[in-house]
Parts: sequence; C-alpha cells; structure tokens
Amino acid sequence: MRAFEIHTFTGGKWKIDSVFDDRELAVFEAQRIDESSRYAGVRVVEENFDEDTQKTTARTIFRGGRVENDANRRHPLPPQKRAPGTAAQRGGAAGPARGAKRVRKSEKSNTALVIMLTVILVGGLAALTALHFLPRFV
Amino acid sequence: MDSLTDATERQGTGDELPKGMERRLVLRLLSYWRSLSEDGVLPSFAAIDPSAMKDMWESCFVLDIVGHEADPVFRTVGAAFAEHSPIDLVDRRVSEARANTLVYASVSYIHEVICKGVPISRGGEFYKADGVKVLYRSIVLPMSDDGETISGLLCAANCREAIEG
Repeated sequence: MRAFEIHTFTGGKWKIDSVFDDRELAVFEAQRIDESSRYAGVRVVEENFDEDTQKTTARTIFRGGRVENDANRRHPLPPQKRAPGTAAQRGGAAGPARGAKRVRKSEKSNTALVIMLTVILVGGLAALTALHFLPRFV
Repeated sequence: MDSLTDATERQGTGDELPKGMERRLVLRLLSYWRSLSEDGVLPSFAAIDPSAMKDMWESCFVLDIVGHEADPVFRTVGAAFAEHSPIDLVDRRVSEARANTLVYASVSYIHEVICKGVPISRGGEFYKADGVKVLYRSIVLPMSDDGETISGLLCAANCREAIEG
C-alpha cells in the first residue's frame, strides 16, 4: 500500500497536512502550499507498506519552503525501515530527537576511535623507544 | 487515475474553472477548506457557504459524527450522488450505503480521517451492479465545532465510467 503524506513545518516541528494516494496530486498540492508561503517548510513523504514484511519504508519525494532545508537538517526523517504508522507521527516530534541522538552517537564513536588510535600510537612509540634503549642496559 | 476527468464536474462548472490539475474537484474543495482553516484550526460547518462553492456542492456530502462515531450519519447528500445511489441517504448511517457505489467507495476510509484528523484523498475503481467499471476520486475533510474535536466530515467525490477495450 502506498501513500503520499504532505508535511508542513510549523511551530518547530513537522505536522501531517494531508494524505493522498496519488503522487501527482500530492506534489501539486505541496507546490501550491509552498507557493502560498503559509508554512516555513513543506515536503511530500512517500510511504510504502509491505504487507509481507509488515514494514513501512518512507522517502521524501518533494522538498519546498524557504527554511525547509534548514528544518530538514535539524529534523530529518527517521530511518527508512520502520513499523507501520505515519511518517510525521513518527518523525514529527519523536523523529528529530532520534535523528539528533544518532548524530550524537556517531560523534561519540568517532571520539572514542581517535582516543583509541592515539593510545595505540603512543604505546607503539613507547615500545619502540624501549626496544631501542633496552640493549644498553642489558 | 491521473487522467480522470468527470462528468459531474464538467456539467456545472463553466469556463471560470482553473485549468489542468487545479481544476480537480478534490483540490478545489481542499483549497476552499484551507481558506476556512486558520492557523491549523479545523473549520466548522457554520463557516461553509454552499453558495460560495456552487460548482462543488452538488458533489459533496456531509457526515455527522457526534454521537455516531462508529457509524456516522449522512446529513446532506449532493444531487450528483443521486444517480450513483439507489436510495436517499439523508439521515441514514454510513453502513447503509450500498456496496459498489460512489458513496460507498468514498466512505471507506473515513475512520482513517477521524483518526489522523487531516484531509485524505483517495481514488480507485469499482464495478457498478450492471458490471460497468467506474473510476472515481474522493476526498474527506475533517470539520469541527470547537476547532479541535472532529464533529463531522465534509466529503466529495466524482467519477466516470471507464471504457474497457
């Protein structure tokens, strides 16, 4: 089953505006909303529900709005494979938090990697130095 | 469904209609609904002026939800539906709509609208009792007396018979 949700960005979060089963209609309406400048951002999210796997995949097929790109950066869509539901319900208030969490987690793991490499490098240099000076004391 | 045009829409609209996609009944009604909705507040039935939407009103019907959440009641049914429904639906429940009719197809997702609280438009096809294939497009719009709680639904639909070759 396929649905095209129009989301509008208002009050700092994405909200479902309307739902279509027709891509052309959804994108046309989103463009119309975009041109009205009524909302800071507008996007169309295509949702595909796979009845076999009971999973929904979502992807943004239209982006508009003056600050929409900025809003998308700060409030991205959740990961692609998710449980049934609506994109904005998952991505509106909860999605951005999860997105931010993912970024923080990624930053943490990068820091840990740098520390680990530094320890290995310093340890290796120490070992080499020790091996260099060790014969003088034996 | 993308190339759908419909007889009902063509009949009463005249030359003042916008061209192309904007001419679609569902988008015009959605646009009208948006004009009544300020700051995301659901519009009320009191704000609807049938005379301001003459070209659409005949293709609309209204469902009353208050006290009938599980099985809403038809309050107004546009003339365009008469030819698609064998019975007068006014004051009848949604469950009484005959299968394989335009109204029946249009009310099939009203509970999704009530649940999400946003307009939903769907199209598709069904076969009339005489076996003729019909293509339709519909829209269901949430309405509210207090701006928040959905008290009724404004629905519209149009259709055309498909020529199968």
